[in-house]
Amino acid sequence: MSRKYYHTFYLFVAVCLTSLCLCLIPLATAKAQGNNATMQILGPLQPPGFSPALLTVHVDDYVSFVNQASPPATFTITSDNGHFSSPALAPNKVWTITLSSPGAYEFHDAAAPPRMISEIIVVPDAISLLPTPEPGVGATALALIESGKTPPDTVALVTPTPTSRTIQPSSSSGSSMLIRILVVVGVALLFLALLLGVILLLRRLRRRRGSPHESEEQDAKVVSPLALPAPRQHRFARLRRRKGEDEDDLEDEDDEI
Amino acid sequence: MRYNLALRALLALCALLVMAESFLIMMPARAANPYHITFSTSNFALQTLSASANDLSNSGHVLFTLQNGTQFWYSIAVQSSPAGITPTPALASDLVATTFYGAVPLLPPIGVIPFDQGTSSARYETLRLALAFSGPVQQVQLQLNPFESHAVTLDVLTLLLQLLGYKSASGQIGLLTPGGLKLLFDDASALQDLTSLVNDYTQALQSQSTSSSALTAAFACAKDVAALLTNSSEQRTLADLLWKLLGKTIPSTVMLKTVANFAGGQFSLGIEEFIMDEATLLGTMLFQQSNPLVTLQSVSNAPASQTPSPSTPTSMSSPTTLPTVSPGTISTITATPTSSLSPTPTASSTRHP
Repeated sequence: MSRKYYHTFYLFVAVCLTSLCLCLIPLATAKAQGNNATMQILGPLQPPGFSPALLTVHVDDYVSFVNQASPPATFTITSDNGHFSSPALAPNKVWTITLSSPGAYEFHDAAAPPRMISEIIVVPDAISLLPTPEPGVGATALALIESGKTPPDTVALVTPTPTSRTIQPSSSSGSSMLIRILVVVGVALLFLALLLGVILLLRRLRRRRGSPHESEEQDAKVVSPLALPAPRQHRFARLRRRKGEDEDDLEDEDDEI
Repeated sequence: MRYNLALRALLALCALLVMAESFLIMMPARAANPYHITFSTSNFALQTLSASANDLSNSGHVLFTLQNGTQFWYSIAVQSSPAGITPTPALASDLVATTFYGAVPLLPPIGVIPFDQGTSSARYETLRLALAFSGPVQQVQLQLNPFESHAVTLDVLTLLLQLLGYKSASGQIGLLTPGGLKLLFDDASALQDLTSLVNDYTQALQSQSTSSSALTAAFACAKDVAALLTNSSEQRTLADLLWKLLGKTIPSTVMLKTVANFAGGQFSLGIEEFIMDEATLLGTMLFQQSNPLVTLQSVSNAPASQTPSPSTPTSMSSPTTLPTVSPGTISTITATPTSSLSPTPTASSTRHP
């Protein structure tokens, strides 16, 4: 009985870990897929406004607003159509949003009348956007220009950097559906495992409330009618002793927990 | 008593000698340089746009600087009297000045080429220029114009790159390639929809006084963008132009694919309201004033009564302060408006002996 609990405990932990992985891996992958873009908030000396004034991103990309205004000032950003509104952004503070629906999101500072405007255009993953070139490629091209030469047509082919996501709409929606199903399965398994764990714990507690040797006696009652030959009886007694030790270990572990 | 008289006589003698000595010292200088250079600015309403003199002591090699901290291109129109006095790059090795002070003089904005200066909080792009005066009564005026077609073309190309999702700052290094600017304008003039986009964008920026005309122009801009991206014959030219503008740092196939791909989404129409608001807001802030003007002139050192000349400092356009600079001094005049929206900037003069 005790060994059974021991195995169940390991099984319970394994199921929990597996279901957790099932939940977290797609979430982590989804987070890695979203690209980051930065929108700087500039002050009167820079001149006032958002930089870049127009930003195009993919659905679920991260857009971080960084308050780099000079002289330092606090800004609140509000979208014209009410889709988002930032808290008061103190100097050098960052506020990040993701936009999950395609469209044009115009926004402004909350001052009245607004003096700074900008727009984020959110496009589906099916539309490819211009990638950001590798720094090495840019530096190579610039070095060539500075030496009076025109960059060759193959300058970008040295290290191609297609950082933009060019996912087909069908595969994109199909994979995201599969990920969602996996997350749901993972959550369900986790709940099931936790439920099993709770039931197991309750049973254990119920047994502990009764006689500590009740289970052994019951086991003995079950086993004693069996007529075993002498060598097997010795073996059985050895097994009983080991089982008793295991049970003590498990109880110690429970106490520690 | 006698001692006192003798001392007074000695003092008078000393004073006379000092005056004579200073006169003798000044005479050769005046004879060698019979005129001096004045530098003045007007209509610099923005703190982020400025012009300053670096060295006015040598009339044959006057050094001055134009600084642009805005996000708009400015064209530079030069007028001189007599004709033919034209600024040149101060240093032959200055890639920015040699590139943009060529056939089409332009003052670059920030965030376009990787040569922005200043700190992270206040950046600007600099054009260091030199000017040679050959005699007195000469004048050179530089007018900065954000509405000139070449300047607006480059603004529109930046807008298109942003629309297509380009996020790298200072990436338009293709502008710096030898002859790259001329090639770019040649390619741009071949694109009919781009030309009409430039015209409509200029109209939008200039129509900031009435929101209805700004809306009409903005709608026309959005339609131009959609037409430009969907026209298959123009797609290839536009992709090639943008690819060269970025210094070929991304594969040309990726550029073409992005242009063609983006056209299908009809997201270009989403910029209509943005352009209208930009025109209403930035147009009012940046372009309501008259075009910024820089004036340099050579003024005779002779007294005004002896050589009355038509180019006295007071006859200039509208300088707020016009310091006269003696030979051997360096004058730095920097426009420092009190606020970013101030229509009349004040000029402060700092002299270094």
